[in-house]
Amino acid sequence: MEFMVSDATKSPPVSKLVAATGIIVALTAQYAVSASVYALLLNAASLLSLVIFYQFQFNRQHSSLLQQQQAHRQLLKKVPPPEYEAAYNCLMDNLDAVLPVWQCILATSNEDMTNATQALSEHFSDINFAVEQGMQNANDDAVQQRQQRINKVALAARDSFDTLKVAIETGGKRDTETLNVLEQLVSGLQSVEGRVSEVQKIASQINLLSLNAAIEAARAGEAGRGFAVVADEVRKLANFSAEIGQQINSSVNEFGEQLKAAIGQARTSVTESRGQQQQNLGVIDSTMAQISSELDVISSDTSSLLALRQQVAGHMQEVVYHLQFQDRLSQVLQHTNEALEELQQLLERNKYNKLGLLASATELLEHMQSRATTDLERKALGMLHQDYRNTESELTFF
Amino acid sequence: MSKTILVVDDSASVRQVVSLALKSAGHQVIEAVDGVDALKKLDDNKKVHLIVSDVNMPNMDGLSFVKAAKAKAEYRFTPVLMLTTESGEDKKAEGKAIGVKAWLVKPFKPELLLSAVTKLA
Repeated sequence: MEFMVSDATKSPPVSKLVAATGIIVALTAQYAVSASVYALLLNAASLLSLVIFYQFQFNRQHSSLLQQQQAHRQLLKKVPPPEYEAAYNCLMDNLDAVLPVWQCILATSNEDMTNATQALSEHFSDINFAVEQGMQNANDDAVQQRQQRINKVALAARDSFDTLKVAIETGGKRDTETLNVLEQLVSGLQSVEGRVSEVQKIASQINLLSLNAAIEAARAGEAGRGFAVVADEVRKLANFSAEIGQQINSSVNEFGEQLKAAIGQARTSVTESRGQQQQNLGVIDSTMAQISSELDVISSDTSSLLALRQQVAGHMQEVVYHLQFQDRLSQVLQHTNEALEELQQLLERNKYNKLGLLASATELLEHMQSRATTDLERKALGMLHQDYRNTESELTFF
Repeated sequence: MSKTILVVDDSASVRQVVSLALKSAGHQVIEAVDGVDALKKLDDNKKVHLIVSDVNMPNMDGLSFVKAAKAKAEYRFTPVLMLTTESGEDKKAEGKAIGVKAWLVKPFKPELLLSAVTKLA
């Protein structure tokens, strides 16, 4: 409701009051110079001071009201009064209808966003937990230790295989050397055969000589009878030697044949065994190559797993960072909702007091500024001059 | 080394993401929804190495909670990190005055939070 202040409501000027009081004081001083008159004078002076004080206060409030009235008049001049009233009432009615709707929309959106973000963060937490479980052993230290253990086992296996290869190769060489010795033995037996035939030749010549001696002994007659006996014994010995030689020869031949057969078999066996050795060495080499190749695959898989783990960790950090938008927006929406509620109350309270409404607008803005907690709000309310989007997370230690 | 950390925030999603970041680094996390709940959790769990708290919360705000926690003999020297959207210097000064050790403005990068935790706990 408007209030008017006219010039007629002004109090009498101060100068008149001062003059009137001065005249009263002068007249009283002329006719009564007693103590009671002085007391009266003091009271009058006090009264005068009070009058001057209230006059000052009144003037100040009066001029303030005049200024407000002037501002209001200027406002009214811009819109013709009837249209202004109609527009004002229409605006009030619209705001009455719209403000609760806005509040409801903001509150519901905020609640929906909060619930959705909470669900989202729970899901991400579960995903992270699952990934952590899956890659529990894939941390750098554990992987390196495992890799070292595998390499150690592979090296030990390689050493064992090398020793085995050397043993196999040495065994093969030894078999060949044994065969060579046996073959030398066979050639040794052949020389024995030669010697035996020489012995037989000697026995044959002795036999021949003994025959000659017997002939000579017969020619000698009775004198050669004794010699003939000796010659006969020598012939018997020669024949016996020849028989022995024959037996030795056949034994050596038999032994030589058997040895040759044994050497032949041994050589076949050594050849087969060498083939087997070569095959075994081939198996060892291919097994070692396979182990190396598997180790490379394990190493490559482990590296991929580590890289994947780092990637997942990086993504989770980004998720943690970006999920926090909800907290900020929720606060902004809540503050906006509170401001709308306050606005509704202000409108209700000042529905018929337009000047009061003007004053309340400033108050509402101040309340919004005091409620602001985020840079987004401060920027919107003109409290911040830098771009709030550029503000990185900042850490301060005290 | 694993530490027990009390995380106080009225936003469930923030509690979740802070816990996610801290648990990933091997820490134990106790969650509280506001200052009143946090004081109760402190009474229930005597071995809290660090408090990470929001500022603007219903029932009891973060700075009032820290004051109350610091009044308890066993938590007098427990380090406190405020994790908040509040970046005003006056609030920070208020925090410093009641014994807050660090102030991290949301949204936070997990590595920044973890570096602060390592330094404080």
